[in-house]
Amino acid sequence: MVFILGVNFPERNLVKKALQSFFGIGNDTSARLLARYHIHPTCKVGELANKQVLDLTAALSDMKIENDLRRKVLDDIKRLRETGTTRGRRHALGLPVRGQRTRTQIKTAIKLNRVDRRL
Amino acid sequence: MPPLLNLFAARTAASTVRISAAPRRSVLAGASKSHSALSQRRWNSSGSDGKKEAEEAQRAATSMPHVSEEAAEVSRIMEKEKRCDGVPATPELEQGTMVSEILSRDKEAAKHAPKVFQDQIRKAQSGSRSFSTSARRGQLEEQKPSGGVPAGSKADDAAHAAFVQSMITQVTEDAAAAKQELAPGLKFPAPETLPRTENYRSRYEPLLEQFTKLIMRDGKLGIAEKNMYAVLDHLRTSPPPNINPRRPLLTDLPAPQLPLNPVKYLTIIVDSVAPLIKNKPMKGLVGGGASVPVPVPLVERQRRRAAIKWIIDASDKRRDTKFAQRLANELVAVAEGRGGVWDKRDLVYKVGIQGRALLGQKPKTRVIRM
Amino acid sequence: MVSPFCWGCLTRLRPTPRTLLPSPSSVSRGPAFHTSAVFHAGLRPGSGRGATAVSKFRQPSNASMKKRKKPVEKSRPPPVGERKAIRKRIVLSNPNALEVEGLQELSEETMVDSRLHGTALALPVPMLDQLRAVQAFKPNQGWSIFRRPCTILRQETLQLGRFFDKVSGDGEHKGPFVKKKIISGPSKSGKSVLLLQAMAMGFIKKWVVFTIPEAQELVSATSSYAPLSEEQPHLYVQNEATAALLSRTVVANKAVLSKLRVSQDHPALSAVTPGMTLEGLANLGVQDPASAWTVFQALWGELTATAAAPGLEKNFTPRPPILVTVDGLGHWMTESKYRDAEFKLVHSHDLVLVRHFLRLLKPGGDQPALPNGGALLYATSTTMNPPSVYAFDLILKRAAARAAGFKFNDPRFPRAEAYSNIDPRVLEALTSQKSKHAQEKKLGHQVLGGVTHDEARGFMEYFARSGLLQETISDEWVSEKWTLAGGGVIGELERIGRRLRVAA
Repeated sequence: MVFILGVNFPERNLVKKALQSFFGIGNDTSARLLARYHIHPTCKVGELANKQVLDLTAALSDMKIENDLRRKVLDDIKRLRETGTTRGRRHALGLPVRGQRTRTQIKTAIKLNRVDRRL
Repeated sequence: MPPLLNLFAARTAASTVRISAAPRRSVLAGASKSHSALSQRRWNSSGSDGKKEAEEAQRAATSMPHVSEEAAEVSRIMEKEKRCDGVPATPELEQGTMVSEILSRDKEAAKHAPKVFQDQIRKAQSGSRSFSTSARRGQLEEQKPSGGVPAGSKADDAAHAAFVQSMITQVTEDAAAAKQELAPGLKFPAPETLPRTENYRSRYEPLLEQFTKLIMRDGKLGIAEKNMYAVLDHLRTSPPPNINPRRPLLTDLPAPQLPLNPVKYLTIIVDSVAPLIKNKPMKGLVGGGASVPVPVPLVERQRRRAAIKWIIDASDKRRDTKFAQRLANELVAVAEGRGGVWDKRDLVYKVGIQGRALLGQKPKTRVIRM
Repeated sequence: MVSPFCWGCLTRLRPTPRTLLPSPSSVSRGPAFHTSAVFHAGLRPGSGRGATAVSKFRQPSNASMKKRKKPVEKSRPPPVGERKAIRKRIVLSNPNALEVEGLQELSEETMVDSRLHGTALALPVPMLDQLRAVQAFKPNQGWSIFRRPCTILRQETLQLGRFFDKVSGDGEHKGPFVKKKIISGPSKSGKSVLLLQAMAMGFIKKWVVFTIPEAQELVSATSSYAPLSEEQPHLYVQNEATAALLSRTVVANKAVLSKLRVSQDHPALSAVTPGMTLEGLANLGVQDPASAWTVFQALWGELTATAAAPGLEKNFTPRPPILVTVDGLGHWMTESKYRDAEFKLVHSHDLVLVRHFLRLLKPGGDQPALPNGGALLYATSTTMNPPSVYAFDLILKRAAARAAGFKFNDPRFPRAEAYSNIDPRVLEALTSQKSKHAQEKKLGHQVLGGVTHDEARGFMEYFARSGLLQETISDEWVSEKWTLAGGGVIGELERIGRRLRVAA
């Protein structure tokens, strides 16, 4: 078991997938992170050297991920709402924000768009 | 007025067909009547001592009667029935199986049986049957060990071998003569017959093709062929089977020779477990609307299909990682007389024997007369 | 008019069974003259079965029957690594196949004997472990159906054998010759098996054999990598792959390496003692992958040394020739799957291991590539879906043209297309220059095609004598199969040999 940014990962997991388990890190970001520290894409968590683990943790702690990112997204929506923009209003109404049609296919917007959005 | 259905006429017609089929079968089995007994003898590789024959005879006496034996009995009954002017004969009265069965089981009783019975039993144990029990293909039978001297090395055997030998030499001489007499302008003789494999539609053995298509899923023939080759390679490389004497393979090849030709090995395995009959549930034969299984004979392709299906089903219960591995292991198990496939066939035969009394009967339907 | 039915029949008809008639309760529940109430009663919510039949407003109703749940199979996946082990398993013997009588083994005499041309030669049994160690056998080759591994002595093998004999023989032509060759050819034409035969000859002649069995594994980003040093950040070292190479070399060449001793100074390696064997030196790198690259360089320096460093003369014995084989060269001619810190793809030639072996191939360097003689045999591969690299194809075409006698100035000499995006590094790495050393020839190129009819016949006879092919082998039959096998492509011949089983 290896700790990366305080989270415990089993040794047989891929490093790439382990990084992607953080909110805010996807395919591309994790690939770039691996390249920055010269870790090959099929590397397992157990094969990481100590220095590489520390490097990764340091890099992750500098990034805006997890709760910081969630708070930022919520703040952005709230700001839009408070300044009275259309985008803010659409969020509050639970309707599509970016000019999509509303006659059909707005299930996702109904489900997700709101001021206190669940993330 | 609607035509009346004459049930009796239909039944006699059916029986005539069956009778006329019976002698043709014996012609097929051997080249002539004098050869038929000879060709049905089992060909042993190991010099043919009397012990093995006696063993086989004993097995024939103790185990269940062969299904084709049943068919012959049935046809005999039907013949008699025709002579008795349509009076249906009950199997209990006509077949006489009960007493002979008892005698075969009880040796003490057999000693004190009437002379007629004893004669009959002795005749049955002589080893040669008057009808074919062979389920193997003609092709396999042709490829006997060419050592020449077969099992008995008796006088008639030797004569037969000499006869075959002379035939072969004559044919080769003819071929050589034909080769020399080329038409002017030709450099090479014409090929006698194009081998079957040269036609792209029939480049595989029929059994191999049938097996491959039966393991095909979702129409993916390529994957099925890949698996088939993996199975054949496994058969080729796995140690030769320890054949269970109670469940022998229908072959005269010794077991160590089997893996050298995996296709033949596969054919032998499948043909050995292939059932001769299937039990078809028929309604209306007995009262009360219940359906009763009645044995129906199968042709070769149907027999093989049943066996292959059983083998594939049994292989699904194995725990190997790959399908080809499971299937190959199951095939070797069948060759060694293990596995549930043999039990399945025994069950089919048992049910078939129970249902044979109803053979040839038509379901009772209500005929409305106007 | 008379009815066709007789009354007797009709009277004898049984009454219709009651179950088929509509039951009186379902019909006459309400008043006979007004049925709508009865109808609605069934639809009223809460009244038994009718309630479920009413569909809600604008809810999609599913007309199909409810699907029955499939029984969940509770089979556990096989243990980790088992499937890979099955995939990579190499079986070298089939006890069911017949022992071939009069089979000769590959040895110093037989490998140059042109009388044996076209016959199968068995690989010596003690050598099989060495060949396994250098991963000379591939899982998709048909070793598993024969009694023991054999190879056909084909024309190219004989040529190789003569070269091996020339380099380490005792004749007057003895000398540290170097053969540099790229082997290409269509799929299944026996390129990897030719490399295997070369390795076997190397082991027979007591050469040191280095192999890269899968060139792709070095560039497919499946093993660790790191920048070489602070000064050269654009070069990358692969410690695990280097350690694996060292371990292969040590296991296979134990007999040779254990007799040679360290005779050079290695300031970078503190663990090296003066009297150490080269086997011990290589094992340092196997045990500690972090130092594998340094150890490999030290080992290479020792093996290519022609004289001892001052003060270490008593440990020096003449170094044996070296054989280097690489299978799948095409993968090294493009960018690798590794990324640098800026997320750009690393070129294969920037990986030090690849760079080392490619630099050996390039003639015209200041130092001879192998001062003690040897061979560099680099084969292309078609099995692992190699990348198509225009520059590499051009180089192969040029080599073929040069072999056919075209000069560079000849208009028929292949040129790069004007707008082709050609990789200059590939061109530069493999372009043949005039060699500065007499015993080093130009970079050669060998196209492996089909075998000849005689070789095909020998191969098919080997099948027949192993009991796998039950046919009469005649010249006509062999030439028919030779044609079917695409002009004697040996892999296709093998397929025919193991598959033609149908009795005509």
